[in-house]
Amino acid sequence: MEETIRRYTYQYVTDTRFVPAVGYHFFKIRILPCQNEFQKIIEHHISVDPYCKLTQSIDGQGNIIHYGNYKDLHDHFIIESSGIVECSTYHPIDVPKPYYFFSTPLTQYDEQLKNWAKQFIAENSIQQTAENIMHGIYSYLKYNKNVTSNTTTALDVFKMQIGVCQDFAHLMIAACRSIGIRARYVNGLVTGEGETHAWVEVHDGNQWFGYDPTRDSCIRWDYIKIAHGRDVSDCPLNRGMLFNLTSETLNVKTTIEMI
Amino acid sequence: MNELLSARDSVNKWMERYGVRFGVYKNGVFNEQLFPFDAIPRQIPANEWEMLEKGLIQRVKALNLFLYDIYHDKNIVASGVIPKEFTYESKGYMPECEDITPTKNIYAHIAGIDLVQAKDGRWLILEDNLRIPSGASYPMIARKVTRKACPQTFRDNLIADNRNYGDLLREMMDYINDGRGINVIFTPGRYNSAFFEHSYLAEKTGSVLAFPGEIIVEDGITYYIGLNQKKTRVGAIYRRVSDEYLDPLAFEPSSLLGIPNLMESYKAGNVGVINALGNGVADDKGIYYFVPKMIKYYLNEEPILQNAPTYLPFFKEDFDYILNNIEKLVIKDVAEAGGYGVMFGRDMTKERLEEVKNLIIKEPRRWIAQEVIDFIDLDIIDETGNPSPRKCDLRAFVISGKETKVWKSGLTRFSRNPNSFVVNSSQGGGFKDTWIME
Repeated sequence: MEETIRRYTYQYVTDTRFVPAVGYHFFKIRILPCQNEFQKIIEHHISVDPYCKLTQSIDGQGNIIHYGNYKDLHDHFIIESSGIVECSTYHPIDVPKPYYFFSTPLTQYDEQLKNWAKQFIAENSIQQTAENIMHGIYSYLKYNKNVTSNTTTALDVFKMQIGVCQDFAHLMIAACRSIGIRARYVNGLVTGEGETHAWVEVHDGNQWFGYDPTRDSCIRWDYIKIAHGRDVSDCPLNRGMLFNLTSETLNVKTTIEMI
Repeated sequence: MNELLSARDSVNKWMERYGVRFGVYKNGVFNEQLFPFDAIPRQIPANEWEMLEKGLIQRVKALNLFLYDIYHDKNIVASGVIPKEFTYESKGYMPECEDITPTKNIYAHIAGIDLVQAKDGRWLILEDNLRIPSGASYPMIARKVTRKACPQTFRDNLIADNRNYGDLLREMMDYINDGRGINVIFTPGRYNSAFFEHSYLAEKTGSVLAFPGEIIVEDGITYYIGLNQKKTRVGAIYRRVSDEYLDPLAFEPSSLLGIPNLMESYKAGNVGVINALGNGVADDKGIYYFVPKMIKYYLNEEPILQNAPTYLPFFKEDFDYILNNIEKLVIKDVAEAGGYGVMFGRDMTKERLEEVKNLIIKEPRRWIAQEVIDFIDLDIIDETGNPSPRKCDLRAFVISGKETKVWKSGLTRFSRNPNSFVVNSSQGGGFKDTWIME
């Protein structure tokens, strides 16, 4: 496949409503596509409503974060991030931190999962092995939105055989690490209209490769990466802390189009 | 000395009045109990102390260098001195701390190093506490009370004055603060096991005692919110909340005890956090095994103080030794502290020994085994009013600011029962004053 450059417009909106309204509210968000060797931001715009000062920083994994806080009563919190990115084929080349070899509470594996993962090993090819695991997970799990939560572990998913993109990704990470392959969790956006997405990157000793076990696809185009970590807890897109009792409704909408 | 013993009733009354307490959670219920004080002090001769002091400073220096290395260049792992499994897989290792350099490059500002003295006189290190070592307030207050009860004792004996702990802390906090704002001691609150100590140390260091909700971070700057919502910039926080609860937006999201986005202020170098975040990777019971190697690696010196003989099932040779000798060893869970997860082979039934062996086979990285050290007994006055021997350890406090100093005192803890080897205060033991002789 020849190397070309593609451009996408993206719009990513999180809309949170509070009933009753809340006062003190602290947040930390990851909303900006990352800038790296295959993905460049051409223009971007971030707004928060009600207005508050956003401070930009970088987390321990190198992802861009924004944080801020409110004091006054507010019943909604809307963040909109939009812009244009330019992508070449998906190929992160950052040097992996050593911890991607090791499991985390959400991506723990046991003997059973390790044995299951072993059937996918392809001689002398980490890429092929990762692809086999991805196909394996795609056919092993059923997509279902109503069963798992933020605290569901890879082993839970392995047992229940059900989950959403986050769970597919965690199981793939656990399977890879169980046989000594470095893998990490990625948060981001995919073309079309919908919600944010999660996938996996695997390191073959030279560079990272992207795999989407939820859609059974080896990633080349159409994925806009925001953040990565050992598992989702390293790079949640949106985390807040409130001191009031309230009920929260969250709506997320993403629109990505090639131009 | 005898006058001190005869004054012990009044000493204990004073202690009660000061509220020298220790909170314990048992079966989900919070109980606060008096921390029993025994009036017979432990005495450490000057020459012995000199050696201890040198050894402790050396150890803490190496541990600080290790922490910097692990979160930056990772040379000690690359050179094979410490296997990577013992660092990146450790519960105490925090990837969020990668590449962060704390103010003045100090991680373990306050180190609580636990030692025991074997019957042959050698001092051995039992464990390093580099996160939130507690207990310094107990000997402080014991000394204050015993001085009050029998001033003559302290005039007649050449005992190093230990009333400077607050000054040592203050000096270190000011150095870390670097004039950026006020000093704060951040407590999780009234129901923490060491709340007494938090408030006592705030008074002794002239710091503000701050509770959850009273510290906020805005645009990378940390503020204390005082009366009438007045914001005052904070330069150094001596926090008594553990890493995982310290910043709910960076770590445990359900924590209500923490300071949201403190991590951002810390990372930007706008506030000093005492002790630094991520120290758990260096005081893990598994990493303990490697501390003598760290001393050689970073300082190019021979360790002055030795570890208790320790085996790591991670290594094949040690693994075999442990399985063959389990009944004479003590097995510890590397992730636990406070005397939890400690099992003595000799106290276990055959079935239990087999269970423990299986645990070790299943997760070799999770356990360490140590020879049971025959450490010295010190006498206490028991309930009947008679001297009775107890196993004792010593927690020495090492403060690292501009210089690294050892506080000339320490917390001597004794086991509750005459035949027990577990001295942790959460397990019901008591404490003694520690006299460093001059």
